[in-house]
Amino acid sequence: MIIIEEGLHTTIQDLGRNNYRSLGFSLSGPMDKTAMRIANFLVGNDDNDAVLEISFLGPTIEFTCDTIIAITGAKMTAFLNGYEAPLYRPIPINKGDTLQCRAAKKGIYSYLSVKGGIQIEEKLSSRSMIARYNSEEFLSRKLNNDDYLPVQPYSFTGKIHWKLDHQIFDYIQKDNATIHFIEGPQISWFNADSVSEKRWKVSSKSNRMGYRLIGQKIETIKEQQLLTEPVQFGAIQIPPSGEPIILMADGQPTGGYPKLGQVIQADLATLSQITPAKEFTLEKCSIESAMKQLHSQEKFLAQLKLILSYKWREMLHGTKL
Amino acid sequence: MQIQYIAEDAVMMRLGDIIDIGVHRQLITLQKQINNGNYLGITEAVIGFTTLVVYFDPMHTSHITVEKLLRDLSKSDLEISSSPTVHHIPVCYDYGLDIHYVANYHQITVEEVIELHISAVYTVYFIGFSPGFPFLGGMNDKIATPRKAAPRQSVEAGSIGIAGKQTGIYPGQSPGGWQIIGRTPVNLVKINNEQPTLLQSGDQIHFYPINKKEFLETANNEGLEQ
Repeated sequence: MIIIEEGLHTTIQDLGRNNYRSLGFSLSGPMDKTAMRIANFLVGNDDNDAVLEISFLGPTIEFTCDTIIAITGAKMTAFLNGYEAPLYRPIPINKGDTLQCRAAKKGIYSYLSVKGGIQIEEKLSSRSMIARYNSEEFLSRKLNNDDYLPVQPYSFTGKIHWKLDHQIFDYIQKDNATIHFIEGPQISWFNADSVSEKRWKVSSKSNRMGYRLIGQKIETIKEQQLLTEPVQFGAIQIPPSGEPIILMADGQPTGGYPKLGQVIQADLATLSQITPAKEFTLEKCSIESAMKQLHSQEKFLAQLKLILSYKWREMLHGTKL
Repeated sequence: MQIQYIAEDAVMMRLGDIIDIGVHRQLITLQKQINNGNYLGITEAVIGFTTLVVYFDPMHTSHITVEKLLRDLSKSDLEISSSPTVHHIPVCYDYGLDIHYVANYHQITVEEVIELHISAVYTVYFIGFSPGFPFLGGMNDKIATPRKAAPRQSVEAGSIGIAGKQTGIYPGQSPGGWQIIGRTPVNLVKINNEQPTLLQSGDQIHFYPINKKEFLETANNEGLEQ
């Protein structure tokens, strides 16, 4: 496929670059892992296959071979050869088709999967864009006009009459979302109770590296210099200004700001999709509760993956289960 | 030793809160054991100055299993037997945008700053912040200088900086608030190499001075961002 118009910030993402954090590389991967994995399941891919992450304003793409795509995540208007393209279902594509992605109406990050995944060469065992490393090579920069992304040709002549229930994506931009967090290593340095009493907003000066929160200044009750230590996606850091910064998918692997909390993994997708105007609250929970919610989310995704793989088998071989 | 479950997929071990070479050696020994150990479900061990975090797949192992592994490994007093990798890194101090500031701050000459900078042996405590960025220990306190009040929008790749008692090298162009005392033409990140960063935690560094001509020659060979 060819990028005709690059969009605001379009990147390639798989589930991230494990094993290189010790050398300073961010984990990266999608901001909304749930939507990204579902996009892959819809076209019969593995969880880790590389997709396009589209941020707020989408690109225009021309397909250079037959394939199947799916769009999930933020509710985005897209046009396929001029006709509105459906979300949350597989869409057969013919060579020469053009997909125009427009602005997200609900949420920020949309995911475009292609059958077999984007076949770009891996860098350090991953196809996620490398954060804070500048070069003109692929995966060291956002996508530009005229970039060519290889895709395996795949022709599908059958009909597709189904789509996923949009309610699966109701976590995106719901009103008054509650984002849960567990205690961070330096929670006792702060007046932490005040965090839950306030309504928060995400600043527009936020990106894949971090979300700056607007709401109030968190009071420090223990002044101490922190020695730089490992940090991860979801860490709620309190810099000297007192205004929290939550590290996101491209967060650096080590950081020197003290951490009040850690957003639970089950709520990271919700957090990543909150646009600057929306209010939300932060609420502390136990690690046991965090694990329980993670397991139930994983169970749901595993079931969805299984159901969609049956769907694919049925469409390809006509065998009903 | 303090253990904390800092995320659903992470256990942190803390050995005090003072920068110490002995603590650092303990951490890299443990890190190597874990990263080379092929333990089920464990993705990676990452270290800071006094902390080590083990990341794992919570669908394949648990906090308790990881904690037990950390406690068991810490009990065995394995020391790294091999001597550290030593790097000799050239620095052109003519590119030291803040070297006069540093000299004035300490009431010494620029030559003395350079002499103090090259006479020390530095240890890479860990790599963090960005690809290949080394956090170095071992700098002489006589040139310790506070960060700049206002960070620069852009610091060149290879810039050597001082921030308080720390010194480090910017591997790529980035914004930065450290006092820049020189620049190395050596490229610290080569993404297509199997070992993509020149430096790793535990390595040692000696700096030596070069002139602008030597800088440009090496920078060309190294493909440094200019």
